[in-house]
Amino acid sequence: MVAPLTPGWQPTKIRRVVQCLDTGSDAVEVMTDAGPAFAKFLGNREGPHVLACEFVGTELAALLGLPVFDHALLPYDGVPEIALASGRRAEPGPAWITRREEGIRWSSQEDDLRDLDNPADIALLVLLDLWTLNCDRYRPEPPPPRSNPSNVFLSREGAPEGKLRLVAMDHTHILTCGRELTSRLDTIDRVQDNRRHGLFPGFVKAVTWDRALAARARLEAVDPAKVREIVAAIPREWSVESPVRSSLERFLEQRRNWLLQAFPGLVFDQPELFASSSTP
Amino acid sequence: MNAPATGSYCVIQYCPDRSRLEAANLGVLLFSPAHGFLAARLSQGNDRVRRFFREEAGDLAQLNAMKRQLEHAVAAAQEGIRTPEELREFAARFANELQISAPRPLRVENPEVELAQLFDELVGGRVRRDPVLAPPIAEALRRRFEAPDLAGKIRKDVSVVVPVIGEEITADYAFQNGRLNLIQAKSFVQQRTADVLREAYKTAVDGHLLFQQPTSDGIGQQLIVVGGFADDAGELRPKVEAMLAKHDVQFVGEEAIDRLAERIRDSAH
Repeated sequence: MVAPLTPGWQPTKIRRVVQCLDTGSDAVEVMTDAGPAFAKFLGNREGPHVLACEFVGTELAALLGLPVFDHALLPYDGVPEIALASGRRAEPGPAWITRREEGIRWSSQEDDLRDLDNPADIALLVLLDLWTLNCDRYRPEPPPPRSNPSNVFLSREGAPEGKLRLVAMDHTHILTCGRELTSRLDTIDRVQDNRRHGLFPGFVKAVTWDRALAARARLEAVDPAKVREIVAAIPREWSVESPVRSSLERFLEQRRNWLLQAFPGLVFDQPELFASSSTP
Repeated sequence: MNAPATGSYCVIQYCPDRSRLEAANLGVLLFSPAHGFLAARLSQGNDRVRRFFREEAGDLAQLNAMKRQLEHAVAAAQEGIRTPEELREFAARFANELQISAPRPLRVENPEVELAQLFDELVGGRVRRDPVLAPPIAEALRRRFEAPDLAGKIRKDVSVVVPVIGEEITADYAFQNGRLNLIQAKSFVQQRTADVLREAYKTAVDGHLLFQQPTSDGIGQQLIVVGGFADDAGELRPKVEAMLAKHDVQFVGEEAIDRLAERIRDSAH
């Protein structure tokens, strides 16, 4: 296990339920013995693999250096019993849990990115979504585009006065867009998928050539062994079998290598204008 | 500690106009079938109601009477409520100014402690995002101050109006020894330093204004804060203590509760 997931934050029990949210993964706002948090449980309507995706996506985001919520695996013992928004029951076993932060989802308007303390991280967030084929922030194709600015969170924590901090959140739909993970994750068409995942129209101006180059350097600095450790650390209770883990490892490695060649050109309409210069 | 079980909790609110959906929390209710426990705890004062609704709140004595009615209704329902669904039906019957929220699940190990924690978190002055001290300072205070040796020397839930500001605050306990000593339990465990200092500053100002004005009986009064801090708040405690002292508020750390109890036992009348 990659442990502790967030040093210094490890709730051990859910004290009470605040509200059950009608989301795909049946998220629940809870109060833990380490304060307020959001939890996703086994038994959710989309199955255990969305928990594995959340785990992998969040850990990869942190590995790239993106801000993420404090997160942990909580050993849920079935108490209190929780009826999820879908009507299903939360099941005992490792639950994914993130510390609640105060803030707001992005409006989707380009101008509102001026409030960000870390605008350079926008390019890094796009690169994360490209790496993981995340369909749940922005996916341009097939038409109409799938756009979910709710998954771009602007946090009040850690930002200077008057500013907000971009945080990478909700990775339940990386890799397969909410479908089951299989041993065919590393097919060539997926490794070389050139759709511009993550590139909201409102992000385009913020992803400058320099920022994109800096983001690629972060991806290049990622140690492949760390990625394998993350995949190996997916809790076994989440039913990601060995052939699937192997396929996931291969996909992440091959996709990273492909992106190191294709990015940033992939997200610019006329990359040849920038390729010989460091600034747009 | 008892074996953990699933219980339910509700928030009791004052909501004078349901169309507006504006409400002030007045109390909490806890139900644990496994422990055979159903109880409500309501605030003694009405400072939240006064702050939110001002003159719209109407006659506060009537509000107190309604709170008593609700408390007694919960007590009378002890035998009739055995399931969360029955609790939901009971809660739904309160459809006027005092309302009981739909039950939500909670983990119950010691229902009395959890009821005190809920009250502290949802009705007391605590900010929602703050973690809970374990055990909370209010519970530590309750265990010592409600021991038999202090019976008759200490009063519980004493409400006073802060001069100048005009807000009512409720001291958890009070004792008299030539002056009226108002004791408040405070958990300075907010995640942001600024929030801790803001809470301390508000308390200091309240205390200073109380100290400057004698009671209607002509005796002096002083606020005593029994405070707990998060484990990593080392450098904050001296700042809070100094701020309170400069405003005539006594600070007593959690470790000194027993000494305060001895002082009350020996000097209160």
